[in-house]
Amino acid sequence: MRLGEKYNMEFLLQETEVLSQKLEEKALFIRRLNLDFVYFKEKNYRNVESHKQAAIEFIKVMNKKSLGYSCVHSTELHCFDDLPIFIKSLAYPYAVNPELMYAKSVLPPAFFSTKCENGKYESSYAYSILSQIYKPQREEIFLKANEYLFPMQENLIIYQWNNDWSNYFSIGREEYGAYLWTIYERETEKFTVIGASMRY
Amino acid sequence: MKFLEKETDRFVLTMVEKNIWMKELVLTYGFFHEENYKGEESHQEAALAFVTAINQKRGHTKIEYTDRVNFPVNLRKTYSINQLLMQGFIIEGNVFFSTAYDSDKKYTSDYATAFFKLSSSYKGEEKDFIQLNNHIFGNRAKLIIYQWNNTWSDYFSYIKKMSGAAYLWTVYDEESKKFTVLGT
Repeated sequence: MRLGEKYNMEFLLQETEVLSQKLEEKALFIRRLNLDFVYFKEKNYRNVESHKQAAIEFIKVMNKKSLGYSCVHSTELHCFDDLPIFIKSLAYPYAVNPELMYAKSVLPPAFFSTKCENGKYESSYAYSILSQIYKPQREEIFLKANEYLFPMQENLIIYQWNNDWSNYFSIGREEYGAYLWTIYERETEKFTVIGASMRY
Repeated sequence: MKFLEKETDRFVLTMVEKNIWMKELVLTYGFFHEENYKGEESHQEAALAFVTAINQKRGHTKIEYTDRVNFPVNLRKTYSINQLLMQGFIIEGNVFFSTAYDSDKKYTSDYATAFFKLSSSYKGEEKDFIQLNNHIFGNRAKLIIYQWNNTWSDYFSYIKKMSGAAYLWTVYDEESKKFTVLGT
């Protein structure tokens, strides 16, 4: 069995593709955001199992984007930092080792919080968008964008994943940070997966 | 000739899984299947297929065939090829795979030079070179190796400017009917 094929999680191609255009139309996140948003439909929700599958499916979509065909290489590798980040300027497939994956649950108020003390954000999602070193966005825009992206914030089930189970994260781990969140909305049965591997 | 894209794309990961150091390696490896081997003609075809495949991975669907003889550095645009300038010559296996030095402490093998010397930041050792070759070239007796000149495409231009040298080899294994193409 290949990864993620047991249950039929559906990649929402069109919705994913029009998102950045829609954000631009609404004047939300005009500047280069460098976060990857991908949508999936998941009718057969299996709690954290579904979140894990959504995270792996996300890597598959990232491979499709750069290679032109959908794939995910599974590996038993434990140290992804040994993989080259770039092979010249070539598109280079991302691999995953699902055994290394773990996640923590994040409650919506903490996830959307813009609280920041001594330069440290309570929410790493807010950090990835608002932080000063990394192409900052305005807080007001961040709040508006979240209202648009997640109209029912209180219904969300959010997991934040570690970042050492795939070379998708390599460049961000070396530079400005690497994150992955899987966000499920029960009513619409939809996953929003947000990945960030932030480089200059 | 069929491009073995998945094998090519997974190659670096497969080597790293075997503990072979691949970071900062200048060489790229591509794999092709050729059922109807026609000697030098097939080697030339493999060289062209390799540069075409690399060009595709840079986001360009079409190679430009040209009669130009100068190829300035081209980082973003589609690669050009002047087929008339291509010259290939046969290399013996023991020369190709050798890790011996000459009196100037330089590798006698151009392949070893490309592997170790073209990037000053490559940290691999001789064992990495040997293990990688053992993995892809199972039966050395059945290999036919061509080395190509580097003046017929801007595929070579950047590395030539950076390190003064650029290489391409097409290696056919008669047993598995597979081409391995190695380029810098």
